[in-house]
Amino acid sequence: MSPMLSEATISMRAKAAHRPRAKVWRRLGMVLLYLLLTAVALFCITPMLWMILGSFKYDSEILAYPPTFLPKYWLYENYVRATTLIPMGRWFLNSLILAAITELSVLTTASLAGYAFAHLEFRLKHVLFLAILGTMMVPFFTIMIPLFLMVSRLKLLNTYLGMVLPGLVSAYGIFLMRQFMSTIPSELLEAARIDGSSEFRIWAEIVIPNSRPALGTLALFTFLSSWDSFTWPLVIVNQRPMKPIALGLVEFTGQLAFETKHGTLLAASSIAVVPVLIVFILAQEQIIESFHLSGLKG
Amino acid sequence: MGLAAALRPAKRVRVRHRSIKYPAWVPYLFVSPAVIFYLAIFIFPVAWALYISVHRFQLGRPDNPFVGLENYRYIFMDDRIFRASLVRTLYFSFGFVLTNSTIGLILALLMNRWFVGRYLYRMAFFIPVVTSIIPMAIVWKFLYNTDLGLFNGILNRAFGFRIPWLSDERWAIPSLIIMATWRRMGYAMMIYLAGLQDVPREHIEAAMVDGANAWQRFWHVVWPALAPTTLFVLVTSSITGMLTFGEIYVMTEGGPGQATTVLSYYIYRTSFEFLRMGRGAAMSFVLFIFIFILTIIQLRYARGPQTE
Repeated sequence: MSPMLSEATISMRAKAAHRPRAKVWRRLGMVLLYLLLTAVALFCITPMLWMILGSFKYDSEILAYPPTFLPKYWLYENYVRATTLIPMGRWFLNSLILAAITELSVLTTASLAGYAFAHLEFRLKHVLFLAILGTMMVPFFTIMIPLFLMVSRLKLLNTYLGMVLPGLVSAYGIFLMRQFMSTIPSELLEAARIDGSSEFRIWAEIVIPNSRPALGTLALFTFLSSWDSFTWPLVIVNQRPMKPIALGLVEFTGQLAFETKHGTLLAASSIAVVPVLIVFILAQEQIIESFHLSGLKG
Repeated sequence: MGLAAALRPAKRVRVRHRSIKYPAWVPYLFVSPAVIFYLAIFIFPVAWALYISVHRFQLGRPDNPFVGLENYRYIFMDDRIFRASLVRTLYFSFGFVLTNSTIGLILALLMNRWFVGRYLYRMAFFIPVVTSIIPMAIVWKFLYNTDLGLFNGILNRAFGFRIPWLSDERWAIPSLIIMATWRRMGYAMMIYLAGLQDVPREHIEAAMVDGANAWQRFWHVVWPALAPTTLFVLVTSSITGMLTFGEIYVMTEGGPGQATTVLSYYIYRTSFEFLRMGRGAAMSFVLFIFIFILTIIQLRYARGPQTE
């Protein structure tokens, strides 16, 4: 990670580093570094930890003063109640279904369009590409009202199809696939074309199998953002059984918070967050890479 | 072969554009799902929203007369809450951008070299980024609880006072800023880390040879070299800040009072709670224009971090 320095600099630094005072400063610097980073890291993790540990506590202990860290008594009822009093199971399933539909649609459309923009020539290529990138400029709130009217007239309120509608195609996905697919050597594709293969076959049999890294990255990114989806379902879903996780949880803040036990709420939140966390820890590199690329569309 | 070939009409091959063997309509087939989608879900609705914004449109009322720019006039002239929401949006965005990019930069500078455990720290910083907004907003609402929350519990025990995080008008937006920064600073750090890779090493070495200390090296070499990255972070953070909605809906519902009613939240309330969609659509275009301007700025002045 550190920049490769020239010989002169390395030797200059090496000489300087042997001076005893420099050693002390450096030790101090390292200690400070670790302290600072640890403090920030703790800040980052604490809310999660508090949530997970709290989900095992009695309600009175969660909001107890002074606050406790580990539960005095480990309680599992919160999780039971989280899946019975609140339809967490159903909501979890809804989110999974929505994620699955979105994944399928986004991956397919992005790899189709990405291939065309990467390797095919056609008159409107640049115009269309710019236009698609341009849609990323439109805030969701601007299309929210007309989409709502559209969806309600099409009788798609409270349906899975209605919920996935705005998310079926991702401009970021198209961009990502185009970037990656353009690294596939065109000689490979030419050879297939000369052999008489149709573009679709080329796409399906050569390009897609070679695009697995990008597809994986896009899949992860799409999953994360689909799991999060809240605003649009908020607008079109009011039947409890159809809600995705985020929307369902919100039902239990606000007015109903007094009746809901806090522990149950924390347990429910943990159910929402922890699976994603596990996926993150396992697929860390790819997930960070997907965020990296989402920013670098410069 | 000969006669038949000669008699066959010449194929029109546009050699200039492609030298290969697929019909011209094939690429359009590949992009058609995406294009159809965007026509239906973006282009058409944006036009429709514009149309709605120049009508009086209250969901449930049958009459929708054309009223020209009346909605726009109303929200800017007569609607105090709208004007206030603009101010609050700017306040929140600005605060968020400042905190987020500063902390992101500091973290990136600290994390820019390898050290034992770096991997773990990077994971820790990125965990908030991948968490779901709503559950974490719920948790933070607990943490921010004035009487019983964890933060005040610690503060009270250690220093003897409490902060009215979400219950006081003056603390509400800063509290939201803190939460938003918590969620996003790992991302800012990552962007800056990428940008730091592109700082020309020769310049840093030259500065070292000239005897510059760490701060001078930073201020005169690293910081200017980070300009495109910084602009990128500033603009994308601003856009994120302006589109923040879920946290506010969960943590404060626009309150206390109207203290955290930012533009996005007010658009939602106006359109789906007050059902005044004409006005809501007008407001949403104001938001669109903000985002549009920010994006143009970014496209014109930033090269962005280079992808390797």
